[in-house]
Amino acid sequence: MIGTGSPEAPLLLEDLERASIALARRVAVVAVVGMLALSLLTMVDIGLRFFLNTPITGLDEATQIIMAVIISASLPIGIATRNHVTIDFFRRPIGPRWGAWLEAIGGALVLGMMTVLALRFGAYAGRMMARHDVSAIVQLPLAPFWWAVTALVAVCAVLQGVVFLKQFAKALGAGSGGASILTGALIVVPALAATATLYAVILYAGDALGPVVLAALAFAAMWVPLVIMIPVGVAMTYAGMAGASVLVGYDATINTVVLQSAGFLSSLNLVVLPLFLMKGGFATAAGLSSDAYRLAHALFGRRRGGLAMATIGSCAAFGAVTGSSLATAATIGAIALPEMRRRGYSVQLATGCVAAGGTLGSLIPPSGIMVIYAVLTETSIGKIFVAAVLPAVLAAVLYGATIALYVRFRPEAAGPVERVPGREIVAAVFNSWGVVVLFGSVIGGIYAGIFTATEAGAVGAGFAFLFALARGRLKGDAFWRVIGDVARNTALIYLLLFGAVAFSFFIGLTQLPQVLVAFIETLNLAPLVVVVLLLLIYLLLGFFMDPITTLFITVPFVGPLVTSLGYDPIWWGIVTIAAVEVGLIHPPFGLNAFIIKGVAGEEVAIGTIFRGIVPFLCADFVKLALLIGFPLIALWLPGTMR
Amino acid sequence: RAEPVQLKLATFGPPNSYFYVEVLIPWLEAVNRDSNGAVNIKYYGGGVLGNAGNMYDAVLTGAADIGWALPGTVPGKFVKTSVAELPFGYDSGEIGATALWRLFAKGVIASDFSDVKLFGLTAWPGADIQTKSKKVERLEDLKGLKIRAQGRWQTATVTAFGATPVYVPIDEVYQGLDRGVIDGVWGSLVLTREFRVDEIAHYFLEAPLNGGSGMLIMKRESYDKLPAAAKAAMEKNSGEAMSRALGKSNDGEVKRVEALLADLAKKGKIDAPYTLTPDEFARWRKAAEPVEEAWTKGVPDGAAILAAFRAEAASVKSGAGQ
Ligand code: NA
Ligand code: NA
Repeated sequence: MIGTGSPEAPLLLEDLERASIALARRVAVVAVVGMLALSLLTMVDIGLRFFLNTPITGLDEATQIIMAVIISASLPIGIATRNHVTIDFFRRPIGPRWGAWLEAIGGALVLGMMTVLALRFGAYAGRMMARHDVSAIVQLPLAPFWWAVTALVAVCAVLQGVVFLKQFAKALGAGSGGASILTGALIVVPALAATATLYAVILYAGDALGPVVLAALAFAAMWVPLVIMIPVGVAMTYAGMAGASVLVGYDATINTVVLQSAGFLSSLNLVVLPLFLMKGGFATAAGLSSDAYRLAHALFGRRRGGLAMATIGSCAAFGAVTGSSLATAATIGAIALPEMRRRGYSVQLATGCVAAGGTLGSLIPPSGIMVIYAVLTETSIGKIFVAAVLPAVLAAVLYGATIALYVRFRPEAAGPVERVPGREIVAAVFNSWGVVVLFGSVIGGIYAGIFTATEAGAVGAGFAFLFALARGRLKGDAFWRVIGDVARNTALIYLLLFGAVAFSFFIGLTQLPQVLVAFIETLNLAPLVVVVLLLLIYLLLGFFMDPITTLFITVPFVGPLVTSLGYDPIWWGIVTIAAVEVGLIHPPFGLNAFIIKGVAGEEVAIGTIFRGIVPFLCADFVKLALLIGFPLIALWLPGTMR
Repeated sequence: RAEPVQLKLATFGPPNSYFYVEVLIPWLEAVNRDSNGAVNIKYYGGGVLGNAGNMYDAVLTGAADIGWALPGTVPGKFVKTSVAELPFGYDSGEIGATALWRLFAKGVIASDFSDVKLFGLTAWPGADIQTKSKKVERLEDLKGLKIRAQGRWQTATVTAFGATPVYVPIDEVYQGLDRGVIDGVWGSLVLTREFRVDEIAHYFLEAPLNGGSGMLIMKRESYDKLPAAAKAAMEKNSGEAMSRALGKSNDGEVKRVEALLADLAKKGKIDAPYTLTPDEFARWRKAAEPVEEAWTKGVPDGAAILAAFRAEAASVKSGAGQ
């Protein structure tokens, strides 16, 4: 006690925090072990279906609802370990003292959000119980699952309470250390004042402002707090909810956020994400990733940046069978990042390359987002898939060229060049049989029609686990480390998704995209100018919306406009998807970037990742320009179809 | 005079889907006009206020004032309305939708709608069987085929007919059929067109298998609070006529897809769509009986509801009550 200067209360808080982390860890173990069990069960189901034609009836709908509980059970560890995405460009000038207070403010905001979510999830579960809601096929009662989700979110609120007290105590006790109080004040005080003003205007005068101004204000109300290190998910949630509550009232807003979040927790498209994270985690634990990179190093190590290019190649190969950017970024990211770092690649290059490479998952057919575009525009899925091939090749080549240019100007960003003797190459080839089996079975299984791309998440995770187990790599700490990483990364992504849900809902309410497009239509501009303006709108929407929502609310009226200008809808689809995918990697809301942030770990700042992405963003812009300048890149192949 | 009450009408599918354009948006415009400024309904498409899975809740919790929702997504509440999901229930969307509305109007299924004001019902055209490489002509042909099915009664029917039901998310149907995870799809031609099944499947068996329903609803308490002029305008444009129009809109889409398939068949890209022989049809109806029994056993007054639905469908088909 003597000499530390800490009063007793913080000591008590230390104990409380330790206890809450221990609790969160236990919950996470249950979550991830449950996830693993579901993966193995899915593999059994696929086997039964393929060999005996007797799948387990209703397993998919049970999986959806169980995954909602499992994902919620991952949240407490994210909360307890304060695993949020913050933009920390200004951390240094802001200084520790202001920083401590800002953390406490952020903590209070998270606490408010989790408390409200817990209460409303409870109301949702209560409604389910009152009307005896059941799942469609096996008539599983749904209310107990949503009560479990409610309880877990409530645990989050309690744990966040502890976190907040701790942050508050730290802020009270933070010494004035350093001379940065004044510079800090120059950033913090105006940012706080601007935020307060923006919220006041939105809440008290927003009604009369019209959709464009209101959206602009809410956009600013989201951005400004990011500067002072308020977590991204929190800033989006509050800004979106403030804007939406002006338009439809607070109750309808919060109810919608809960409804949509419940949908996200149990949507088949998203629940595969933790499974892909788990696959990457176990593959790394099993040593499969290092095998793969030893081989890649043996083959491409003589070329500067060769490993980064090989990583783009793996993303492309993976993207050729799955339809999702996120799955690609999660899988390849978990495997490639540690290996590239170990071989001397800079964090920026390594993370930028995987985040951008991940978008190849959607750019290379098959692709979920292309299916949605085709459905929305009544064009042929097959034609879009074919049209996407050359642009996808172009994207991969441009990413490769980006790496080549990057390491030319910054040779230190890539590991040392090394010519590997033939003998070692052969050894590396033989040693990588495990990788071949794992990826071969996932890729081959989808290709041969044994399972769907959605099921591939479970198959990959199950296989990777079995591999690690058989190789004896899960002893001691290793298993728990994988579990902790999977749960924390899942939490990181979902805490962001709550914010995305709120902001997307608000933008949908303003009908901003419709207003902007209608405005462009009235200008009577040259077709090319219209197309470029539309692309800018897509890039703007990418700041805060996920690709699927963006397509749903824009394509139905943008598509006809572009077609009426004489452009080909297939070509426009390729351009639109390319633009929307850019949204996955550009700040501040880039899901791929956040996934990579989760995989890369706490010590890597999101700012570093976004900086690493910049060269690849440039490549994307070059690609967009080429696609617009030379539509034949997309249209030549489908033109050769009958 | 008072400001018009502002209401949001929400749908979840592609905002330009045929029946939104043909029925729902004209309904909204007619109500706005007939209310003489008492109400102003605005259209929110594309699922911004609620999606297929949660639209019913979106309406009950106030995210949307009026919503297009699927009773099949709330199976615990819409127990009786699920009669539409049984196989061989009705021959066309128009017949199904009109019959279903009459069941509601006569109070047979009204208890399902206790929390909402119902404006109109639709019935999706009964499922057809669309297969990639095996032509299904006899019941036995289904044996061992993996068929994409959704929901309890489709799944039960596929099983009763000897095929293996497999659930694949709707946006993976194209890829699943292409790669062979599934051999076929249990769904109406409306679905064929929306998800481009015609690009992969070769055989299209047209049969009135499992149908389903959709509804335009408003939370009851909110409806009760509306000004009289608004309610009158809504009543005037809703009910059996609207339901019939919704069903007809589905039939129109089926006709468009049939034309498309006929064209593909002429070019030799697919086999011409076909129907069951009368003998085979009788065998399939027989094979569906256990499914009907399971349904009537699980639903209060199930047998009476099913009988009433069949009778209404027959009566609509014969043109009674037009
Ligand atoms: Na892909
Ligand atoms: Na973005």
